[in-house]
Amino acid sequence: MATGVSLAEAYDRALACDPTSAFGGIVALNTRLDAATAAKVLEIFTEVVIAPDADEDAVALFRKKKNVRLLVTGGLPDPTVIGPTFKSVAGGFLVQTRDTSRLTPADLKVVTRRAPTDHEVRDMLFAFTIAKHVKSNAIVYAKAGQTLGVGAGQMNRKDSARIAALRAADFGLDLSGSACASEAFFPFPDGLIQAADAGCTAVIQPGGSIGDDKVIEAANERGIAMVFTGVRVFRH
Amino acid sequence: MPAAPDFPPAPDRVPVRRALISVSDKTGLIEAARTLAELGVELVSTGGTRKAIADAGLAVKDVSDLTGFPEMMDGRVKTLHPIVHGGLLGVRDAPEHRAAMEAHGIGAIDLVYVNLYPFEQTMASGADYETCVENIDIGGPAMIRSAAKNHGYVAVCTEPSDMAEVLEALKAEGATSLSLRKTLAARAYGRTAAYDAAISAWFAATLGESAPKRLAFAGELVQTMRYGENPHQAAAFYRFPRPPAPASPRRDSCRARSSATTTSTTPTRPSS
Repeated sequence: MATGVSLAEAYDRALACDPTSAFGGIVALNTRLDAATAAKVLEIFTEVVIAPDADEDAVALFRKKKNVRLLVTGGLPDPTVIGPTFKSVAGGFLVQTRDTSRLTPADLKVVTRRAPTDHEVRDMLFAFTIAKHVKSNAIVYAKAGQTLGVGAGQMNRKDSARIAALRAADFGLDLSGSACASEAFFPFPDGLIQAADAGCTAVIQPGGSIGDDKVIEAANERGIAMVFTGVRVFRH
Repeated sequence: MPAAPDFPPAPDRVPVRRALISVSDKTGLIEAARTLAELGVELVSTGGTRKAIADAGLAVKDVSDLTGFPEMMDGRVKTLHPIVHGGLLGVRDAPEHRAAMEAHGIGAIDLVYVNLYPFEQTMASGADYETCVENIDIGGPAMIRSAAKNHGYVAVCTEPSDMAEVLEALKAEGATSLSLRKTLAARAYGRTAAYDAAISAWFAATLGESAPKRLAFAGELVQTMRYGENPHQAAAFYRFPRPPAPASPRRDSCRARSSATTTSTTPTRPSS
């Protein structure tokens, strides 16, 4: 996931995060698909592209390819709409209200000696938004509107942090100066230390652990700017 | 969409002068009927429920005495009558409604206690097709829905625990409150929705439809949870109703018969 000055650039930056997994993948866009981006997408094997709308010349490019499906939604769903979500369990199901939480810079509480720069704040919020949509335990590294590494679905947060950094290294992405988002608190300093060692300089996490003091101390020792969101965004 | 008529606001407290009781599950029935009788409530009932109440030595009218119509068609038609539904739906404080009730001899019914023919259990037990069909309650849901719509004046109970709440209110306050009647109405529509969901699921399974046009099912609340995946998400755990899929040979007999010969079928007469 990434942003860019053009859709094509955003696609390139997103692809750079994990070109391996992109094979046979699904590309989701939040803006009108143009021909330049369509051409890029069709360079690698892609199953589905979903976009709110598409230019005619972009559609024409897709018509030539047999096994790619282009889904045009006609709009974007409103992420703030409340409603139920369901989880299956044996003999029944769990119903919960959708996670409509959204953060603004004003929601962030700086807990370290060093406060984040404006760039870091933007990167932290971007990373945290992505972490919200990653299966727990989730660790996301991001910088300048580009996802650099994702650690998803691990049994512990430290492993997620390690895997996210490993992925970034595999694809030659530099984590120095990046922001690290953790969708739930770090219970111990180990995950944060892992992130700091990988080069990240800003950490965003919900806070609220009895180990917060130790995690803050570890952040201060490494000159990390850390903010607490007060909101956890688990997704199982 | 019909605009709401300009009714006077519903009263908060409504005393219960007359109750209509028609229950399949008779748990706690006699105790409830006795309490109502002691509170001076006139009891009206149907079939087996009426007999059970009468056998306990309590005064109870048969719904046929009100309607002047006999129970007919194997009990398919007994409460589907304007005397019953007018008594449930009439807005007591609306002059035109009041006049219509007086003109047609419709007496208000302030409390309805109906639990439905046990379609879900009948279906789950693997009963044959005709028995399943015969256990689709029509009059019961109709009364529940009428009473629930007119919750401004009528309290509707669909299970013993509802009845217990109403009796508590009547003993303590001598009336039901509007908020209680609203709560009961909401539960009542949940109950009839679940009932229809079970029927449609059974039908779909009987016809072998794996993707019916509308897939309805009702969960039954087991418990609310502290929270969902995150503390800002409210959550609850629901149990599925019993699966309608025909699995055993007995259940297979629930499939539609092509001929009209319904030889061995003796529908278990719903007990109300």
